[in-house]
Amino acid sequence: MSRALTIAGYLAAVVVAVAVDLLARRRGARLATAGELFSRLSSRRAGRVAVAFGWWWLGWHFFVR
Amino acid sequence: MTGEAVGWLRAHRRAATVAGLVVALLYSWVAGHFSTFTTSAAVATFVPGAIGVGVAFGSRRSVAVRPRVGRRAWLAWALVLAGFTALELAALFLGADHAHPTVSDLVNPWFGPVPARAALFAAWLGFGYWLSRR
Repeated sequence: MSRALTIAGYLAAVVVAVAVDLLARRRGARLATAGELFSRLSSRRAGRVAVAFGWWWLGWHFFVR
Repeated sequence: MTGEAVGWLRAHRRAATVAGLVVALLYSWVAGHFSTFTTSAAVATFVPGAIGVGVAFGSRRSVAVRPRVGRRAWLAWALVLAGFTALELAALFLGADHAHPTVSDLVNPWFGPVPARAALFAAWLGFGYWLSRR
């Protein structure tokens, strides 16, 4: 049961993330899509480098460890 | 990259895109054969990662239209991230066992078969490319 709850929690986080992204695509929405969020984060060099390191870590974690 | 090379790439954008895609897929297929905890996997992941960080560091591109992201938008994404992080940390501190799996525990089996591993590597490269275009 605990395992199912944990997995349900992860799935809920993914569903909410997708919902936020979709809601942000409506005209006049005050939310931001994931793309806009990353664009904003990447608008300065420090942000771009941080995002790139985050992406690198993701690959390292899953493919190398 | 020299001015001539940049000019050639602009003139042959479609060919360059297709060539880049083919190289990325071939690279992913080769990388998909390397198991975790091996030097070959480390090198295969290090190279594109280093290129990505180098491009991010060297790029002088300024975003033409810097998207306006208001407080509400930041808050919404921060809540999503906080929820996800809380779950992950809770699972980790509760032992990261069968009853409390972390995301890594859940998705690690996907990285076993070579075709799946290669596809996931290609997806990682694609995600990196998408991020670099932000």
